[in-house]
Amino acid sequence: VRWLVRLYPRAWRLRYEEEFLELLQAQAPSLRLWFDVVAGAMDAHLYPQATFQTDTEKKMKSIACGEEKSVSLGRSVAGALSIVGLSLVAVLASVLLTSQGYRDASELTLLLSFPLSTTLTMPLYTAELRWPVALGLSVVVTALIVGGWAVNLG
Amino acid sequence: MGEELPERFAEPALLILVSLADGPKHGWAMMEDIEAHTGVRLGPGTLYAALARLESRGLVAALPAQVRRRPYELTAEGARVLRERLDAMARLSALGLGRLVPT
Repeated sequence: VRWLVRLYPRAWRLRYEEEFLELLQAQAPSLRLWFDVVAGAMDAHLYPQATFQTDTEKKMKSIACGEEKSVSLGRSVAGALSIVGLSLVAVLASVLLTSQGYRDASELTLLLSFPLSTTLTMPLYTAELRWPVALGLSVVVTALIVGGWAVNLG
Repeated sequence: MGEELPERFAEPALLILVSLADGPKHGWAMMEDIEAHTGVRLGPGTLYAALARLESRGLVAALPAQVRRRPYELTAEGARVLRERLDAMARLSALGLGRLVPT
């Protein structure tokens, strides 16, 4: 799960990464651990003020944010394409499965697509977009998935 | 404590404060201590989310890192907040136990 630490904001990693990795190394890999780390990363993006308080740390954050902005456009595009692509795949897979009579599998596809698309939303947050923008895009993804569910299973 | 700690992280934060009440500990030691005494196993993501909040509010402070581990200690403000919270819980506990019909 070491690579999951990359989901955390750069500012957070500057402050906590070394000790956090040390702690992760001592954990047995599990799905629960995976979700815990991803949830922690989302929290760190949604609540960045928890990371930096002192003047030195604020300076580190400003440096980190400057570096992030230089690659933010690329990450934003990659994140948006990932989400849209995944949503389309989920809806198409659902249509196909429903047409073949696999109603349960269709529901499962849509069910699994939600946590996956949420995970793929992370590049948007990593790009340090303003949270309403990232949240808006997440809502669009969710609407696409729920819409696909409603159309195909309703 | 409700004002100092968002509700969603109140329990992990409280467990961390209690764990640090008898001296500084690093992340792993906190997880072990909390599990040993409460049976609650905090994940690393949950632990550090709560720890970051506590640190940003000045309730815990980081000490110099030892190799790759960084110990944290309770601040004076952290001790005050913890005591207030535990006192409130003790009053609630006494009230609830007193109202329970003996079986």
